[in-house]
Amino acid sequence: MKGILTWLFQRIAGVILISGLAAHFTVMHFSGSGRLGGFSAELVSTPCFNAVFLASAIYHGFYGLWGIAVEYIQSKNLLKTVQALLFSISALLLTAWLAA
Amino acid sequence: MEQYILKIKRFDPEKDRKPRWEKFRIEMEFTDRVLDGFIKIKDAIDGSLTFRRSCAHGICGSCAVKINGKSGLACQTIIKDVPPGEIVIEPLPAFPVIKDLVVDIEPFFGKNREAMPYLINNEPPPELERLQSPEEQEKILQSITCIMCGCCASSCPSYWADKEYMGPSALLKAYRFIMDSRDRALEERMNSIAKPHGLWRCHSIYNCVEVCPKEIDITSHIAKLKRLAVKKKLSGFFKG
Ligand code: SF4
Ligand code: SF4
Ligand code: FES
Repeated sequence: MKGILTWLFQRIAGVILISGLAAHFTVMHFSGSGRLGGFSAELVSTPCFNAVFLASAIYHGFYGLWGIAVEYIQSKNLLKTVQALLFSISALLLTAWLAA
Repeated sequence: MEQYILKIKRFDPEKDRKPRWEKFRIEMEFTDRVLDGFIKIKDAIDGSLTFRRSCAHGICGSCAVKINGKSGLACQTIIKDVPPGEIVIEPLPAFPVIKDLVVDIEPFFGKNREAMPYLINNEPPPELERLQSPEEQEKILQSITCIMCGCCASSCPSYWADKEYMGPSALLKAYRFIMDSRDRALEERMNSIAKPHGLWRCHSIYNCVEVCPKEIDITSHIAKLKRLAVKKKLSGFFKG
């Protein structure tokens, strides 16, 4: 069986993105007081929150691009190259953010 | 009787370099089926019109075509149910056209064979037959009504894009045997579908469900297979 965990992580990343976005918009833009239930403006801008959010966004986006590549690219060699390229760009993005 | 125009996409590999449209004006009852229109044209106007049909009662799946932009069975589509005006008929998309409305269905059958569409059970057979309770049968009831017409695959965007994608009906076949209480090849079957051009290419777009003439909720069957694959993988981790 192949591709189960990568698919599952994409779903999980999707859920994190939707909940993260909802938390961000409600607390930062709509709540007025900068607080909603257990969420505060400080919490949704901690490095940890940002790291999880960014890692999820990168994984979700690049897994999506990989899916498109699998569907449209028929040459196995080209597919391998695209896979390596997508992996490198996502790693680069994450490293650039961590270094910033 | 009323006048109807059937605009049919035609292609004769011996004469045409590319497909062409031809309009036929015919008289039909509003209770007639699109297939009756084809038969009338072939009998009275142009004997070269080529289409498939066998049972003419929604059982064999051979008369599937695209009717006004939607895949469906010509023998199950009643004239009164299609919007008035021209009725536009095309061969099933995503399959290579052989002639007029006849497409090469072999690649589709090949993908269904990948799903091993037969019962696998090496246990010694009982004296009479391998029994199944009504509850066990209920689980696979929808999936066993598939008539292999190809409407689902021909309407699936993933199937259009990915030439190697197994497609909805092959995945439904896999479901049909995976959930069959008499089958004993779960591992093999999961391996045959949990792969890059299998389960994961279904993006739950629901086109297949919209066109299935047997009203099978194919997407939810595929979703159950995805959940089963995840469950099996995770339980494997916990067992070590
Ligand atoms: S699942 Fe429905 S649309 Fe697909 S082949 Fe079977 S009967 Fe036809
Ligand atoms: S639900 Fe899945 S199989 Fe059905 S049309 Fe959409 S992608 Fe294809
Ligand atoms: S002719 Fe058999 S299903 Fe239409």
